[in-house]
Amino acid sequence: MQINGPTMRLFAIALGFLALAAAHDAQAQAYRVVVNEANATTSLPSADVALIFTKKKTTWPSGAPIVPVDLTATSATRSAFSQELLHKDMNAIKLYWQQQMFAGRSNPPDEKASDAAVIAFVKENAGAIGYVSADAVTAGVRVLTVR
Amino acid sequence: MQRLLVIFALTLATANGVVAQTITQNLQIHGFADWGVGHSSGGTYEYGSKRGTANDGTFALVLSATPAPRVAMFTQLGFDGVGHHVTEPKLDIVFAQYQLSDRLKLNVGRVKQPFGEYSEIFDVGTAHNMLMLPHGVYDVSGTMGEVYNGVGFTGGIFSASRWGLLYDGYVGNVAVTTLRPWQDTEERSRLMHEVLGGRTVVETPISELSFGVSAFTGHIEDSHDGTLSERHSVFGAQLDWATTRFGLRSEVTRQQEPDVHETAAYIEGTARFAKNWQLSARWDASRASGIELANAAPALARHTDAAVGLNYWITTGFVLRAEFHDVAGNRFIAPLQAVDLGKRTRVLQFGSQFSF
Repeated sequence: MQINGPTMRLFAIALGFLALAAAHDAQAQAYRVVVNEANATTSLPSADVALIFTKKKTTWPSGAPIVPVDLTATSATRSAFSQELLHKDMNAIKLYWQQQMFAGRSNPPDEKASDAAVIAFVKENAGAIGYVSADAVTAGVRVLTVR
Repeated sequence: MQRLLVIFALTLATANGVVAQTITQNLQIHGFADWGVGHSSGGTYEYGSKRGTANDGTFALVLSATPAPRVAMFTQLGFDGVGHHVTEPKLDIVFAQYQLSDRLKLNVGRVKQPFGEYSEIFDVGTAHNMLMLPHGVYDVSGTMGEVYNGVGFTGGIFSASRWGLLYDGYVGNVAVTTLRPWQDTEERSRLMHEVLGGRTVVETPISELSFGVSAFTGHIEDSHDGTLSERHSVFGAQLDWATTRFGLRSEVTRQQEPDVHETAAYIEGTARFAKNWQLSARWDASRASGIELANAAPALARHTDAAVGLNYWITTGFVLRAEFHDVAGNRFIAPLQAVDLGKRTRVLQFGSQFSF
């Protein structure tokens, strides 16, 4: 079978799209957002997740307080989560919380050192929401779909 | 200074390193401090003085607690060290907040005055772009206070498309520190009563771009007989934009009293050129006018500061800064001798700012 120039170009473009899709998928899978199993929420818009982790949205639809929990600032998972959902790098995040806490507005979420610590915190707190790396064991918590 | 360092060391020891500590889930301790030294070719300005003393520093301890759902309390204790003198702790803020919803939170007490970009983080150096804030807007021009004593509200509305509207309003009294070199050489603290003020900021979906307006008005108490006399009104507009590497911030304010008007503005930019290194630059100016200045030397009514700086961020909570300022006018710099009035002042300074 002969493969002519236009077919090759088409093939290359298709491969490019596949590579992009794979890259996007890999990025989307860098973290998973988790809540307590007692929480009825199964999915959240990405904008709501951003509002929750900047404490601009502080209550669940039931009226219960939302308790976000972060990974520590050096975590690659946090970096990916912040870039993709909060649209801020870690310097901007730190600056945002300095402005909030020293203005007397709100304090940053608690930080946990590992996925296991985040999972344990979310298990113990009915209103908690956190994020963990894609390969973390999430038994005992609910993984949310972020739309 | 020694006492300041002891207090700071004790705080760090308590806080177990330069990190925010949560004593319990409901009580948090944070703090911020700065220190600097500089040389000025003329009068004292920022950290720069003719002799280049290295003693000026400030430190503040911030405590916050959430004793009950929807209730938060904030306290800030401040210390200043100038030369051999360290002030007694002063209560910068203490207020309680009740959250009705994300759209409406009520504040009562001694609350940071929401005005422009910096009034609520006035002394928090790690949230600034340079060692000190632009003088025309934030120095002793008397444009605004640091806190209001009274009641207020704050809140925000946010859309799924990442637009946001933040708002604040308050009534109470405000103390403004004012230096009017055409009247005398000492700063005066003037109390404003019946203050009504607010701020609105629009957040856009464009990378960290926001803009807003602020205003407040009230009557100034006559320091001689305690009666309320002049009306002091201030208006301001702000613009802020930032990306991972670049930042741009600008404000313009106008303050009005029957006999004095003052317009101030600044624009400052930053560029991060390596992981820890950042360049900063600022142009800052103010002009005072009015009947009160009819016989004043023009240099006392104007201020222009063109500044450049180099920042090294050890962490996001610890920065070293080196700056050069070229200042025209004597609005905020007293001349060393009468013949120096109107001469330019150049300041080279170095400082460190940290927060936890």
